[in-house]
Amino acid sequence: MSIIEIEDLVYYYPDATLALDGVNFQAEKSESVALLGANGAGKSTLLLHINGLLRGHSGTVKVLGRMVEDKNLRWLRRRVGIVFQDPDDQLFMPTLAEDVAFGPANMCLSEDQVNERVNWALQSVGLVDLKEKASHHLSFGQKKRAALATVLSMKPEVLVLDEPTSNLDPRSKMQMVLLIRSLQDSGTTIITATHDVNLVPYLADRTVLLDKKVAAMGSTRQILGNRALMEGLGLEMPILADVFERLHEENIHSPITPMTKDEAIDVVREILKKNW
Amino acid sequence: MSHFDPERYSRLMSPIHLWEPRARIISLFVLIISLAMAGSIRQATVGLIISFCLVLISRLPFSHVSMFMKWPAIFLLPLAVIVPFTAGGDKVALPVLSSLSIAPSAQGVLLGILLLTRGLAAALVALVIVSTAPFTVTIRALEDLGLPGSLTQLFLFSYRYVFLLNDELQTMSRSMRCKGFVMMSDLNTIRVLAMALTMLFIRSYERALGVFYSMLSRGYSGELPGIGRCKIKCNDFIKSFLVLGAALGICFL
Ligand SMILES: Nc1ncnc2c1ncn2[C@@H]1O[C@H](COP(=O)(O)OP(=O)(O)OP(=O)(O)O)[C@@H](O)[C@H]1O
Ligand SMILES: [Mg+2]
Repeated sequence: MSIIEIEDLVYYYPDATLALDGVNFQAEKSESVALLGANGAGKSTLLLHINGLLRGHSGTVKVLGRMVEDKNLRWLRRRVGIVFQDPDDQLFMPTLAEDVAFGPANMCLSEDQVNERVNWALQSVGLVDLKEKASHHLSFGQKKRAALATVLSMKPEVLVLDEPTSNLDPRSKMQMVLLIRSLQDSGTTIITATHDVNLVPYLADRTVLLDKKVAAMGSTRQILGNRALMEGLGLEMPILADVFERLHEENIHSPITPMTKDEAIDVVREILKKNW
Repeated sequence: MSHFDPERYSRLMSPIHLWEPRARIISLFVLIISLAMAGSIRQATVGLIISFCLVLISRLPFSHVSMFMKWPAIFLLPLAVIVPFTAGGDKVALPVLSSLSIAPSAQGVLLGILLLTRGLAAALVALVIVSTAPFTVTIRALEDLGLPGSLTQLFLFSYRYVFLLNDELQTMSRSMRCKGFVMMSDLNTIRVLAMALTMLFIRSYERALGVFYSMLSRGYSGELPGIGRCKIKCNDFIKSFLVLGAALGICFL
């Protein structure tokens, strides 16, 4: 059974903008999927459908085996955590700790359990020291991580992230990747919308290209390595893949198109070995 | 980033800050009532001294106190000046004012001083109440003391909204200045400001909608979870006992 099943989803904004035009998409349990698309491709809009904040004009959305409809919303929202693109939308309680406690407290956990989760979530995003700070006084990158913590503390089965790495410094980005992978290992299904193509190979096994509808879907390597596909949608290949694809055109062949630094180093070694 | 921070001193570690919020609010509130009922200048003066001591104990910096106290002072000073002339009683002829055929009354002068002293004393205590805990802690304490939940949430979110409006306002005015906007007294300025104001409200509304979405996503169903409430301890009782004693003392002075 797929954890997320979306069929022929169509959505118009109230001003008649057609944002989604027949989206079909599935995600399996403990899978990390990246959602790529140009600005305005409908990524944020699609994500808001996964826990029923927006409801399509036609088509169906099924999550964890249940239809997204009024009677399932409360059940669903405990299991699907969504981190918005704009962290200011997500932080509304007076202190960071209260913000992170908001979700678990709504799940009727005991105070000790709530505190434990708050500490764990803040630890995971590296913000324990700022616990008592007013959320609206954090720096932007801190707010991004704080917004993630507010959702992590609910330990959702499905985690939906809208550009989690934008505005993060390099170390925080890598920490975010590690966090996503460790959540995935513990069974969480993760959907990440992002513009950070260089980071996608590290964080997702499968990639979906969106342009109001799903333009392509497949393994991250297969999608990101396809220059025509990516450039056709106004996207860029990851820099490593781009470089080695060009070398390939100049008849410098590599066994695979490398996506990560480690792969690139191996490939360079191999090429050097062959030519010396 | 906003520099507007009314809660800057709400997390100091003074004995007043560490006092359990409910006990603190009730005790200080009783003190305010006894100050408001003070009928003699002597009572009011003692009250003012007690309020000063509370401010000192709370370690609120002078700049913060004076900034806040400016408002009650602006309101009370004219009152203290006008009352002597309007209250009845034995007129005191002052050489400067006799040519204008107005004279203050002795009782009026005393009443003016009384109003000023007890007003300032009460305002100081009010300042101590609002400045020694984050707004939300105070509101939560009020909820525990019987304020309805819907009202509490209204306060909490309006409070958040003030910051939000302030942030949006700063961003917008900054970007307007960057694009060469200068305030002048012409029709165009009014037009631009009116549009900016409208946008400010639309943006704040959309922001509020975003916040609402995120609350729904995290299981909000009409109630705010209360966390971190503390228990009233022995030394909270002692503090309350002292302040209530002072309040009684003022009444029976
Ligand atoms: N509240 C709204 N009202 C009207 N139209 C909207 C609204 N929000 C988004 N849109 C439109 O819907 C389309 C899809 O927007 P969406 O925010 O989903 O894009 P996105 O892929 O997330 O883009 P980005 O990469 O810039 O975040 C865009 O054309 C946008 O202009
Ligand atoms: Mg978006």
